[in-house]
Amino acid sequence: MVNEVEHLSVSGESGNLQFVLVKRLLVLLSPLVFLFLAVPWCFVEPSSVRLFGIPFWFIYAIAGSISFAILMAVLIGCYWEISARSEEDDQY
Amino acid sequence: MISTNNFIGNSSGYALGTGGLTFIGLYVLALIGIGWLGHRAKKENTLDDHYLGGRSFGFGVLFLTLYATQYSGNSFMGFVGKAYRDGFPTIYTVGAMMAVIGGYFIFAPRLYRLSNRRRFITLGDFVQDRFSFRPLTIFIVLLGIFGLGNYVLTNLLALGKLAEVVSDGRVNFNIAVIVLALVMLIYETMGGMRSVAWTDVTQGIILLLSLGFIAFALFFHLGGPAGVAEGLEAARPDIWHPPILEQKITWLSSILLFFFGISMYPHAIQRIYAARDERTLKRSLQLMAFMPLFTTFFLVLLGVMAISIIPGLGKEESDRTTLLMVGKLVQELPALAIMGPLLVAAVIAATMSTIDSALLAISSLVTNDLYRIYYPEANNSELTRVGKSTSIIIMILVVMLTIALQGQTIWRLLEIKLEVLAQIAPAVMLGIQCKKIKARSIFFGVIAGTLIAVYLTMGANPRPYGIHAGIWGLGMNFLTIFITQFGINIGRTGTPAEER
Repeated sequence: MVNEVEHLSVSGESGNLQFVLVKRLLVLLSPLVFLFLAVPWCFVEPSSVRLFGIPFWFIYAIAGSISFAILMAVLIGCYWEISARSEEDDQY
Repeated sequence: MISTNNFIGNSSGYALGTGGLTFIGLYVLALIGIGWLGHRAKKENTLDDHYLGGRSFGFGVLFLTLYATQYSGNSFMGFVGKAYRDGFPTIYTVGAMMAVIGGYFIFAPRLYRLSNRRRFITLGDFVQDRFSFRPLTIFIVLLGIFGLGNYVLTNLLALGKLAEVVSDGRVNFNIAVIVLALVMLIYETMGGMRSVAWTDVTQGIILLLSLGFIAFALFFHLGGPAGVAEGLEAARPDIWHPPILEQKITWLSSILLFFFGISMYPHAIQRIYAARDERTLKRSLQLMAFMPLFTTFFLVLLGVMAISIIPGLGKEESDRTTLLMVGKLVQELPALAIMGPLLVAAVIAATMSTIDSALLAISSLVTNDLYRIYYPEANNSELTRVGKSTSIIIMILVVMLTIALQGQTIWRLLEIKLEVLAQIAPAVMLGIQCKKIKARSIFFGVIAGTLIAVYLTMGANPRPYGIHAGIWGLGMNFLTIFITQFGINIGRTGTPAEER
């Protein structure tokens, strides 16, 4: 009985650790994913449509950059502790 | 009193008049004064105080020193010139400069805490503390010194070219490089990081004021891109098309190069250590994420709009687009004549703030990570003295190289530096985030990555399939790390399955 409880407790900790690791991976890699998406991959054909005198794909790139800046501000503000691995001691 | 005739027409574009040159001269002299104030504020004769300003930088100083250091003469001259040559696709530089903050986010939060507890001074301190493998530390320190040396070189080249143009040849390239290098050496050796950061504050403010002027002139005077669209269409119909696939791949590759390369600048890492507290660092990085929108974006627009306003510039001339455009704008807007010298001062400021920071970082790497290994008994006073001597020797060497290499284009040199610096990224990022990563994996990885990056850079095609040599090197770097790590795990436990 005691062993079972210990086993469940260890499994719970392991599951929690995995959750933290996955969350950290997602948080740390999200800037790279966002930067990939900010490249205007889907603009292929030349178009004469302009906005404020500039082509649409350029607007897309600027919008991507603005979104990235907001994303970084949010990540730094809200997920700093995840990157800092604050749940761990200062051993490597 | 500065005359309204600060800009005069000349054969190669526009140059400062006597009033404008006096303004620049006074500005440069003022930097020595700020350096002296930094020297007076010095609290103790230690490496910590000399290279990190006593870890006391508040939000204003930290943000402006990060800003002034990240945006250099290359940004003002190189980015604008590239935008003039390549047109709208140069907008990738905005995302690329932002990507640097993404790179910081991976390691800065934990690195700051570790540096505070373990009193790191340089990047080498972290690498040695994390991996305890001296060959790796020395290799990374040497890569850092190479990258920074190149950085100083490109920026001194930009300074020399700038001085020649704005003085209409009255100030010789060699004289300008020597005099400005001397000024930087004086204030840097006087007060170390504190002097450098305080001059950065002045430089950062001048940069922001000048960018405000550029933005005003571009949008209110010239009517933005829409105002010059017709001329732009006639001069360069090709720049309106979306980039082709290879260009898009190069776009992504450049962003990755900035993400992994610029975030590894040893002098930027030292600024992370120098923050007064974590909140200060967080707020500074948050604001830095938005700065490319107010800096790089306007510079790219300036370059693109220049295509229509000053068509027909050659490759080398295009590196002077900023000055040519400012000269033209000031002529058309006499009320803003004072902004001409201010903008020239901004470009000089951006360049000097980058050089002095890089020079200080090289000095710290040599003193703390190389000299101290062989002379562990050296006291703080001796180490500080060695650091100052190192700055002088390196500056002399770089000035000599700069004078010898005047013919190179700025952009290419910038890329060679990042190709190599990016190879440090796995050591720092994986070292911070992965507990299990071993020194040998990182060591073999960084060697393999550097060899690939250098080999491809020196070869006929430095961008196979549109991807930079540094990114190929980084790919090899990561691959080697994972293979070696896998091998180490098998060696230790039999098979990975048994370990599980």
